[in-house]
Amino acid sequence: MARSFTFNLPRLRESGPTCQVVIKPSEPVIEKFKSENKKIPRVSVLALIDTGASTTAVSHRVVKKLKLVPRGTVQVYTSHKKPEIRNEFDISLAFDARTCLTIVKVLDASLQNHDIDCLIGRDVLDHGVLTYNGPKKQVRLTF
Amino acid sequence: MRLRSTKPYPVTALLEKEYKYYLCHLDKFCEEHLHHFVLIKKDKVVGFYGSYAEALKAGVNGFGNVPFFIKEVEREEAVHSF
Repeated sequence: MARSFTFNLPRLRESGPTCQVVIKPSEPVIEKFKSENKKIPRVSVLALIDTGASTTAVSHRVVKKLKLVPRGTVQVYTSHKKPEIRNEFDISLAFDARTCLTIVKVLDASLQNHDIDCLIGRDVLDHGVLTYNGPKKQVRLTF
Repeated sequence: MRLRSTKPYPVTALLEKEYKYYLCHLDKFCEEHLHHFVLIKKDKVVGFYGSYAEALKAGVNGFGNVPFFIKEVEREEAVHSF
C-alpha cells in the first residue's frame, strides 16, 4: 500500500521543498554491523527535494558522522564546465519507520546552506510521486 | 535559494586506482558483461553481479565495511548533475 507524506511549508518558495529524513548505512552494512554487535550510526537531517539533481547527495557532515566509505566513482557536472570525478557512497534513507529505501547511492557534496544535509534527487523520486502545491504551500510525496 | 556544490574537498580518498583499472579493462568488460555490476578491490576483479545490491552485499560480506569499487559496465558513462 502506498505511503503518503504531506509537508506544510509556509516558506515553500523561499526555502524549497524540505523534509526531515533519517539516514543510516545501507542495509548490507547494517546487517554486517549487527553480526559484529556494533552500534548502528544514524542521523536525522533536513533534506531538500531537488528535482534538478539527477542523483541524491549528502553533506560531508553526514559522510563523517556515519563513517561512510566509498563504493565507486561517478562523473558529475557541478558549477564547473568539466565533469568531476566524485566518490559514491551507499546509505539507507527513511521518511518514517515504515518507508525506507534500504540501498541508495549518494554523492558527498559541499552544501552552501548549512541547514540542509541531503539533496533528494531524481533517483529517489523515481520511486514515487511528488506533488508541489504552490498556493497551499504544501508538498506531498507518495511512495 | 539555490544550492550548489562548491569546489570539492573529498572527505575520503578517491577510488582512483580502481577507477583506472575499470577504464583500462572496459572494452573487455563490455564484451562479456555489459550492464552487469563489476566489483573491484584494488586491481582485482572480484566478480560480476546482476544488480548493485548483489555486488554491495558480496563486497560487504567478503571484505567488511571498507572501500571497494562497484560500477555498472556501460560503454558510455552517465554524467550526473546537481
